Amino acid sequence: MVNNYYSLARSVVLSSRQDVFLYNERLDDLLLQDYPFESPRELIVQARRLVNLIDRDLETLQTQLEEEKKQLLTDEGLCEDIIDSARIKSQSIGALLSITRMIEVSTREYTPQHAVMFVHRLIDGLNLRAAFFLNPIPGLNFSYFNISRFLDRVSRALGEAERVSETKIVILSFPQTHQSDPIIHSLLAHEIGHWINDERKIVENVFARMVPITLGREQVEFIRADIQRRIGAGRIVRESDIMSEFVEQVQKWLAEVASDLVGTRLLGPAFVFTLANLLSRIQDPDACSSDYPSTRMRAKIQIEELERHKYGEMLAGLASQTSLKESGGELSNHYIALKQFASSNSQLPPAMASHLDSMVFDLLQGHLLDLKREVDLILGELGFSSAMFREDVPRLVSQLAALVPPCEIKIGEPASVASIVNSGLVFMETSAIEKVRNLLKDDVIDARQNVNALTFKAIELSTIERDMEKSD
Amino acid sequence: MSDQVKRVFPGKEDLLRRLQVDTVQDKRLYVTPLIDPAQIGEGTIDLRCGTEFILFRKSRRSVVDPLEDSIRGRKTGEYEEKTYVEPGRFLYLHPGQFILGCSLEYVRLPRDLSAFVVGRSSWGREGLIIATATFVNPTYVGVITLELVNEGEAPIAIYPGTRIAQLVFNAVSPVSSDKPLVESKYNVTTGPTFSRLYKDPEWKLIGELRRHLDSSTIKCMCPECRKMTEIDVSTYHDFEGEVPCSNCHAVLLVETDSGHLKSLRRSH
Repeated sequence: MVNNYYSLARSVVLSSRQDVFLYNERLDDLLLQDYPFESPRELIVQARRLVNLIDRDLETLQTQLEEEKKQLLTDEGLCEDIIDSARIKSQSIGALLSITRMIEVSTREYTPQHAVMFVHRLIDGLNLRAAFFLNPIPGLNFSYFNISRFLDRVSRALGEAERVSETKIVILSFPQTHQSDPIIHSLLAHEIGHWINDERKIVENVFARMVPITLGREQVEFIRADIQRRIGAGRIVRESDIMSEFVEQVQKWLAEVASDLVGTRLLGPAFVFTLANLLSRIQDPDACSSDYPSTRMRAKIQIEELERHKYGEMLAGLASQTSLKESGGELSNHYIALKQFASSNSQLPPAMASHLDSMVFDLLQGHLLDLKREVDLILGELGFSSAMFREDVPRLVSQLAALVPPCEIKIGEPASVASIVNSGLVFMETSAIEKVRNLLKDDVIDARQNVNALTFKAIELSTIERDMEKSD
Repeated sequence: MSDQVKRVFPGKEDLLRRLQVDTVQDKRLYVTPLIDPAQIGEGTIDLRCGTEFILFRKSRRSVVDPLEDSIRGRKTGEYEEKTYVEPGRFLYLHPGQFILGCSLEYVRLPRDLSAFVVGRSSWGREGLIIATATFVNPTYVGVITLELVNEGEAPIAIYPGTRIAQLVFNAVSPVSSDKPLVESKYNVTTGPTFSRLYKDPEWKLIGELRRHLDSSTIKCMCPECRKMTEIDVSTYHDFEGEVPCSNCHAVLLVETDSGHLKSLRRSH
């Protein structure tokens, strides 16, 4: 009997090889373009190497189809194996295709220079080396993707023992529509936190120090019920799934909180205010998922962190600081409101959290101190402080109020990126924006856009000033 | 010389004093960042070349017509594009090429200072012309847009961060505090700015004059009723076809060229 699977397998293998051909052509085009840095070219070379490995495997499948035709014509199972194998290769090609898109949109046409400088300044001094690609995406979301690790995984799946490249390449995605908003860019500090966590193994270290997790019978049943709700009633939840699900969620939540801690250390109030503001806009403040703790939990932890670093006292003192006039008091009130929001739900974790979420939260709370210690150890003296806020921000606010980019504390002293962003924050959170509005005779949204443009300009100018001073 | 036109060049000390943080707002001069104090001279501050440029590209658009832009809205993307050159890299300006650049420094002049933008002669000797619209008003806020032209024979490499021009200050009688601080169409700009000539108020008047001219009619005699009839050339400007007589409604075959009547006869 003629086996129809043979022609299907042949068609799938040849189409996959055509995918490889087309992808290589696109990579060739990209390779011909002019890049200001070597990393895009390096990424293309890495992708091409993997594509050629995939093609090598596909070619082997094609040869098998030709040489073993007689046998395959009578063996449906063997043909199905070939189709499966070709499908897996095609899926890898599909994943690699996303790289071309990232390279294309990482150009200045889509990613403004001030965003590049913002990231450059945030990671400065960390002594961790990587090439960053900024990837504008639709929607109001930020994300982190360690592309080197992904390429290594693909390489290992293709049977290659060696690492793809020594250069670490990281993709930071940000909302394309908000590319001119420096305050919202504060959240890139959280994504940088993920990268630091990857490099310095913050969560891994904390997790290793935890007492081995054991779950009681009742807890196991609660978690089983939660998992069952997530995956649907039709599938069986195995005993091993319960523990791995629990551990996985603990690690994910720890990573999120660790990244938030890095954000708070790097940018202070600008990070915490923006995080709470954005998350409140896009989700229920009490909603948890297996990937993220609730907005309220995250805000509460970060406000505690601000208090630990004496921002609370400093913000309360702003009310009497004459240089900020009424804005100081307003910012202080805003902080109090944020504190109330974070602790308004008497139950933390909130009532709507599942048993699994509650157990993860309890475990996380128990190890928060260790997590903070780990972040402190890595960042050391780096980052922003309440003293810097008190000294720098009022001066920079007065510059912004005069419609001047707040790039220098005084002549020849470039401002830090954290001070600049926090001075911009004052205009977004208080009636200081009204002064700008009156000067420009604009409506309040236009005035905010002008403050955003000046804040970004300040980041660019202070970076250039600092770099030129360094080279002197 | 009256108070209104009296001008004095402020000295280096005066400029330095006005640049300090604690200066009263009405006297405060902002030129930021000031990377090197040596940029401040007697009545002058050197400006560095900024990082953003506007390049002009070949396009289907054959003419710059501010009136058309004021009526239909300017589509700058058609023939202008912005580009960013970071310090350490450069941009070639070819002989005869015209681009817009800007100062690295962001400037805000107080009510009692005006300034002129002057190219540095060292660049001028290489053929680089820096600016044509050189006067900066008191209360101006923004980067200084530079109109760069290479009048030399060889391409010139333009490096952001290099000192390229000078602001020469004049002390003037203070502009009234009733006058809004931000009123220029080029104020509060953070990069080189496309021409906003089309925003000038006179285009409204010129546009009305043109509409009046365009809406004029041609008077002619209808070959059918032998009475004078009018043909609206704003509708039938370059036209060949049928138009009804305004008196007898006979269908006339009309041919016009640029608003002028070429032929007129009865349609059969």
